[in-house]
Amino acid sequence: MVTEGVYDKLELELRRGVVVLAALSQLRTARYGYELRQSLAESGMPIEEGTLYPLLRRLESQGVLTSEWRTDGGPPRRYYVLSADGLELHRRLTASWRGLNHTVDLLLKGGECP
Amino acid sequence: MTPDDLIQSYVDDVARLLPRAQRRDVGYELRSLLTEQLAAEAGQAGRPADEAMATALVLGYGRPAETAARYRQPLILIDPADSHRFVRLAVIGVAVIWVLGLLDTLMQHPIASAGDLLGALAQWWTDSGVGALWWPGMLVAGFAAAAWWRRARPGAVAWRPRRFGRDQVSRLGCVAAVVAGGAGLFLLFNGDVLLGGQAAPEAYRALAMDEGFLRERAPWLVAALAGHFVLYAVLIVRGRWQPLTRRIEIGLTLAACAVFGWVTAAGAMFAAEPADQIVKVVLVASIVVGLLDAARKLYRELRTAPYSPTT
Repeated sequence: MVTEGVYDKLELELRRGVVVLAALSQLRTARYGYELRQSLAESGMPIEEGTLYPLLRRLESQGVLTSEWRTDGGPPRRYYVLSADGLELHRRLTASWRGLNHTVDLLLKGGECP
Repeated sequence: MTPDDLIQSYVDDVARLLPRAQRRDVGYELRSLLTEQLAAEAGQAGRPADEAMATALVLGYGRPAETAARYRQPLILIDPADSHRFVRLAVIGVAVIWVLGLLDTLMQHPIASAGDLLGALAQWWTDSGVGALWWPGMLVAGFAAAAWWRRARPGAVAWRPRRFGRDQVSRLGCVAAVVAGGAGLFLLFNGDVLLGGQAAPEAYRALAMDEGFLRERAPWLVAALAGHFVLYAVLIVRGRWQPLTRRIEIGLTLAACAVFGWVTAAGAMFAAEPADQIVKVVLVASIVVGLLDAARKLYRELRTAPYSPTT
């Protein structure tokens, strides 16, 4: 089917747009990469590990996250949590997402296929 | 290879591509994440982790270069918006250099046998085939510099409308073209004017024209350029390009290229060899520029013709 490939590509783009917000939403408490990925997957938002882990590093370098190594009796793991700037960014992105979601909802209701 | 060794090998390849300051920390974290994920997948599969399982895991991350690239800010040398233009310019430029190089090689190495042909082709490949790569290299540098400048000064390079519309003629430009062309033609036949009447006799002999050229080919050369002068005079008066004048210009350019080619190939233009060679190089360069210009204009003319109003 011709549209199948197009669907996969566009659906991936849609997901990419919300990856950052989804990750930030789970980092109000400190988590390490694998734990965060599991948490997102269990909530219905699976993100490829090759995408998620570098994203955490980039967000940290931008001052959105802070991180530290912890052992907690197990192997050393790097835990990430929202910084003060990250909390503010998360608040603004959430408001923006809700506005977008509302608008797109209205658009979809208006143009719903029979 | 054990799963741990395989993961370590993958992490080493990723870390090697990261900035030095990040290597140890990111490498350590990536290794611990991969190890933990492999253990979880082995637990779900109900068997110990093996090489195949570890291979599938790291391949899911992508090539080490892709994984390393995700840890860094993306580096864009050529703006995606410019990529098509870059490819077009690179391909056209390399094709032109290859064709000119081939013609030059064939002129320098007359072909009498298959061996001669192979030798000429080998010579062409060494000189022009590989040598043409300077052109895409220069384009990459130019496009990268332009992209950097646009990012550094976003306001300074904003789009501006053209000063002259596509059909509008720059009268000053036309006058300048006629004056420059006339001066060039005058100097071609009266080069001794530049010597001011005080140079050594050898200098005058170097600029003396071949009698055969003056008698047989020079009138055609003048006529080819005079056609352009008349066209520019019409444009100066009208102030606008029209479909007819566009097509006349393309025809005149092609005719001028043909005359230049004939004049160059038919024999000497100057009595002295050095002067003759210099002028012929200039004429050949003019032919190349003229043909490219005519091809571009013809393409635009044919492409836009169905949408242009008839006059």
